[in-house]
Amino acid sequence: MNPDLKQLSDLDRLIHEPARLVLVALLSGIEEADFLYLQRESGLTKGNLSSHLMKLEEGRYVEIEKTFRGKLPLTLVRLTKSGRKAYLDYRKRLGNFLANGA
Amino acid sequence: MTTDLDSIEARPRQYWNADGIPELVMGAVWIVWGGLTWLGEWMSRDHRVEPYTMIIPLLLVVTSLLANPAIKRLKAKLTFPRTGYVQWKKPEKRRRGLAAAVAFVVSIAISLMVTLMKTESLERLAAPATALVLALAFLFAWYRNAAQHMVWSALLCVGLAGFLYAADLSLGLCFALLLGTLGIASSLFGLAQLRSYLRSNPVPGSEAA
Repeated sequence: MNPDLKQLSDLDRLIHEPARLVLVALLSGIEEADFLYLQRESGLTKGNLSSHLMKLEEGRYVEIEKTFRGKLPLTLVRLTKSGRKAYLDYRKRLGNFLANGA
Repeated sequence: MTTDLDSIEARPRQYWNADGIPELVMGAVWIVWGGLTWLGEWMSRDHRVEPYTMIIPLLLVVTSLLANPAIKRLKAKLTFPRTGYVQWKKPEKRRRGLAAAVAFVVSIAISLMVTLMKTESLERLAAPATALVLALAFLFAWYRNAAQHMVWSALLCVGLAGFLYAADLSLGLCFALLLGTLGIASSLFGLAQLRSYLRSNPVPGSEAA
């Protein structure tokens, strides 16, 4: 395989998807956020956001906690340690790829 | 692409200032501090009430401790139901260590100033110097949170530094003016920002009503 293509194919596919990349990037700098905040910042529909969060949860990159604020349901999302590590690793690999390609 | 990721990562930090609440609360705190500083100066002129000036530092500390809880309560009531909840990270140990080191260096510098300078010079320079330090703090906040209005706060501080140096007022009055002016400017900005935010962001589910 072409070395450039190999570098690209080595990128974490779970994070590399644009919507999930935005979600992980948003979560990387904070402790946690709720579903409403992530939906507004990402611009995704509720269904789309749920689907992407589920994939990230299956990959153990995020933890999802369903709780209540008073009587209203509240979904909290936070990046796990492995999720944070995977994101930093993804940024490093992407940075290397772009630097080599420049 | 990595620059775009930097800007996405910065968005939760910018969210802290989106509603104007931090500016409104800190503005109120500075107005109180300015008032207490002026009160302390006024009380120190009358020997009958001078002992009560000891309470002023305590009140300053109490008001500063109340600021963060007040901001969080207002955000929980007004902001989070509208645009979502965020739990910001506590500063990393390294950053806290750096802040402690900076505070230590500043206190050493102030101690040297007090020791080496004549009282009159110190009185004249203390408030303008504080204004310039605040200007630097605002510029750092602008850089960290991409909060554009912090640049205007920094410029206001620089202007106040020049005015206070030229005006040659008493120490207490200088600090009262500095804190009061900053407080009023910050509160007005915070109110305007909050008003705009509440108008642009109704509580979800209430739009149909």
